[in-house]
Amino acid sequence: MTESDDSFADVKAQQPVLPRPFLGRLLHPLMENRRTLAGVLSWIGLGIVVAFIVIAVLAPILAPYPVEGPSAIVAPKLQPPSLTHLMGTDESGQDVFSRVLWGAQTSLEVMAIGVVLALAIGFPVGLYSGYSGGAVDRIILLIMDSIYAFPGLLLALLVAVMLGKGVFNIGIAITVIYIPLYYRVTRNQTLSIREETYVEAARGLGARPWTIMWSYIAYNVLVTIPVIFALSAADAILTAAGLSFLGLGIQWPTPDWGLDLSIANTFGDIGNGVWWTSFFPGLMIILLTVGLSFLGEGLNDLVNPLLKKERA
Amino acid sequence: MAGGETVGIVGETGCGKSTLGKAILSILPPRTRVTGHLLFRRTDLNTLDREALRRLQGEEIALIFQDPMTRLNPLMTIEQHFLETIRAHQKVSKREALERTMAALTSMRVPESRIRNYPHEFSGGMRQRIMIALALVLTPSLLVADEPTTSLDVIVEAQILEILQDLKRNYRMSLLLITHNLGIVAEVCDKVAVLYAGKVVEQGSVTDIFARPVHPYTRLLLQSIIHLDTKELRSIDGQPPDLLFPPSGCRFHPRCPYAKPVCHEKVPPLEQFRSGQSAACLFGKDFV
Amino acid sequence: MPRRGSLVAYGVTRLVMAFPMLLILLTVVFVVLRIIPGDPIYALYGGRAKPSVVMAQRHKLGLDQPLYLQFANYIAQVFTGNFGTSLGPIFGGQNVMDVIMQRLPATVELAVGSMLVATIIGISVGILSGINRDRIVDVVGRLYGTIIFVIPIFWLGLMLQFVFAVDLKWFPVNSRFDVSIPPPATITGLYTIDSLLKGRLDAFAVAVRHLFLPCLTLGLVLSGFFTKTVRANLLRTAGADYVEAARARGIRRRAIVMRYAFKNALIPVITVLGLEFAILFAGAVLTETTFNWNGMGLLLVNSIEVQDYPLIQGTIIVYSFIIVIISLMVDFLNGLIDPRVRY
Ligand SMILES: Nc1ncnc2c1ncn2[C@@H]1O[C@H](COP(=O)(O)OP(=O)(O)OP(=O)(O)O)[C@@H](O)[C@H]1O
Ligand code: SF4
Ligand SMILES: [Mg+2]
Repeated sequence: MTESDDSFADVKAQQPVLPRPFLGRLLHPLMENRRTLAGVLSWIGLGIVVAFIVIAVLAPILAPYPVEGPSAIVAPKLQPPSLTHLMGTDESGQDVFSRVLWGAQTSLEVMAIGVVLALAIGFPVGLYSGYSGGAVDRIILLIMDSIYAFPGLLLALLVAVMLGKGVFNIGIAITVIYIPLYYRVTRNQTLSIREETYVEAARGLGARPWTIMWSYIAYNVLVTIPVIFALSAADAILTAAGLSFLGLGIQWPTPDWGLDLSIANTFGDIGNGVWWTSFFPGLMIILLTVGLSFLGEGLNDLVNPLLKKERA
Repeated sequence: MAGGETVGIVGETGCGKSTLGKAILSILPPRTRVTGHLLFRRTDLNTLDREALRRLQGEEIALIFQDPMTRLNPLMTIEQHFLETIRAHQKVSKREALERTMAALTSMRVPESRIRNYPHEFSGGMRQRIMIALALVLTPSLLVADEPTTSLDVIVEAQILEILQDLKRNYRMSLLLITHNLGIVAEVCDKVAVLYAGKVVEQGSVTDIFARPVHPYTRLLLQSIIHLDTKELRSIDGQPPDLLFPPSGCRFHPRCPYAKPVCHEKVPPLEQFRSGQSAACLFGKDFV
Repeated sequence: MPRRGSLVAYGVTRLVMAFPMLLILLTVVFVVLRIIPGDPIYALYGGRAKPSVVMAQRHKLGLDQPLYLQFANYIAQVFTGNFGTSLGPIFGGQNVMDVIMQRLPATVELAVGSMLVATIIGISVGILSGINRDRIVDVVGRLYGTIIFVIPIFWLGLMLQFVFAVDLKWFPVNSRFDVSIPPPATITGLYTIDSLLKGRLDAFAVAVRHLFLPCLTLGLVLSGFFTKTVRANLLRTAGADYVEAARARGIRRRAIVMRYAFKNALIPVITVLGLEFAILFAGAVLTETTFNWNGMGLLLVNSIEVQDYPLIQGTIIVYSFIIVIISLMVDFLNGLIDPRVRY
């Protein structure tokens, strides 16, 4: 996720508006623009994301076979897809379909930890940096930009190796990548809002910097976050899957899409003509990330022009 | 317009003067609804195919834009702009194209030494002069000049008007001068058209219009100058209309001191009131 | 003294400004490797090794010294290019820098090939999309850009392997070269270039056949990014004042699209090229693992598996250098195209 996507370029151009219910600001354009391309994309994306959340929550009920423990080995290994095993079985004789359903849980957990933590750190730091300006701002910016320029996966990989494996640690490893992203977006937004008349007025009336930052600026910056949130969530899922694929993320036997692909690759399944052990987990990753991207890019098209209009 | 003639277009800000200029060059944005016809040497520009139109643009009809700051490609040198323009229309050697470039720039008093500079290295006034030189380099037979002198000081303004006059004489170039400045119109134009809300409300020879205006809007326009004793145009009571939703009937009725109920409904046609002078007012004959 | 606004002066300033970035990256690596885990060796072994072994390793690597001394040593190592010797079972005893340099060409070959695929496909789709705004071509182009960008590289790699290598047998499944014939003698380490230099067209063909699928995989995924940025910026520049002015001068449409709209649209694309390279190198690690491609990425992953601390550290440092050099080159390219940034 980078600044050059139309989404990010536009974020800078956004302007603050006076408080309106937060959800309303998102739902209103979604309802209004159901028939435009951006609207349709957002709705499809939202539908996919909700579906995955449902799958993750209901995995214990939906999955036909267990995925952990000795009872998880339910069939001869490497069976092609059939009616009993919709997506075939893997190297250890587990049902791929069941693992894929459970994998939604792992993926969403890791993503949520990573992205929420990144927001929790990047947002206040960006707010502070952008509001106070000066040397502090420039130093933080330089540090964040340098980290931003470094390949995210490599950084996450290092942190993951040093912290050890497991869902929570991988979540933290991912956080490191997205802190600079949230920082940048927040800082740039803060810079432009800081100069707005109503903020100047508040300053003139003697409001304390802390109050201005949190009650005047924070809200208006937060409005831009859902777009970044969706896009970085998609990227986070890819990164987490990448870590697992490299054998540095989630550990067997936890069901995880990236891990399943990694195992398939280690055993050379593809070379043996066994495609289903990699195809289906990958398909799930794509569906979920496409859903998140549609939602993020669609919202960006819908919400940003709206913000611009409200200013005019 | 006849060859070698100068026509002035005047009107308030936002009344569609620049839009008219762009329409003449056929460079309005795609999907713009265009009604009416633009005849150039008895051909309707709307009927020309893209290539025929392209040949006219720049070589036969040229436009000097109102805002010179952003009209040059920031990634190309001045020289590249000129060579490209000349060669888009005529097969000439690079040497000859360069010579013509130098001549055009010199006539606008842009130093030749700066030909390899990029647009951002010039001041606004310089860029304006470069834009004029660029429009004139192919000696078009019709030049549309949209407030060509706004960002120039008075002396340079006079010089440039002088150059335009010369070109007119030497090449029989016709000039369509869009301006706020009625003083310039009086000085250099043969005819003048007054624009209100995107439509011509009065047109005629400069002497007629200045001495005996027919349309109420033109009258108010001239009065405002005399009263304020300045050559700048001052707006008249009321707001200029929103062109996306123009007023019904005569577009001037909300602000016209002589408006009658019928003006709300009937669209006044452009009628001739004297030889060579016509106006679009239902009660025009009362004002003659 | 170079003229103000000249490329040389601009290049020199950029070079000076690259130093803080390099230092920050090196510090971040140091923090992650030595401070976060408390003890890197312990973290690597995951508590499975005997305490005496861990102690011995720590002493050998100087990890029992105070942090400020460690940092000073670390920076000294970086700038002398001496990262110590490998501790792993594969390269044990070899100089870390030598091992990395053996692997670097494979990664460079993969990166260049992928970038080529990505720019050609990404920019063409972006232009097609941009000049056909809101028509069906544009919708398809936008969907392509969005979807291809979120396809996991390793998944795409495996699927392409399955279709083109396993099923159709058009390309080899993985690895850099055939086992049946000897690779070209090492000059640059790039098989394609070396085989051409030696005039061995057969070897060149083999090398390209092996390169094809990995480069296609990585290039396709990267192309999504280009598609999106090129399209967005083309739309912006297509409505610019200078484009309108060029139309009024009767410049040909092709020239307007290329010299005015596209070239100006390229500037923001180039400023984010550095990020594209970051994605490229991250993607290369995955691609190398998928295709068993013996580059730096695979080296890093393998070193982690065998707990080879000096090699892990060395590889990451080389990556940091590459990133800083690339961001320098991107800045320079930017200055070359856009005269305004040279000031
Ligand atoms: N005939 C028309 N129909 C509809 N809209 C029009 C028409 N003419 C002009 N407009 C709109 O009016 C706006 C202002 O027009 P324009 O820039 O031509 O004004 P102007 O007279 O050049 O003003 P200024 O003196 O400030 O340069 C533009 O947005 C244009 O789209
Ligand atoms: S038609 Fe009526 S409103 Fe229009 S100018 Fe004439 S008198 Fe005024
Ligand atoms: Mg105008």
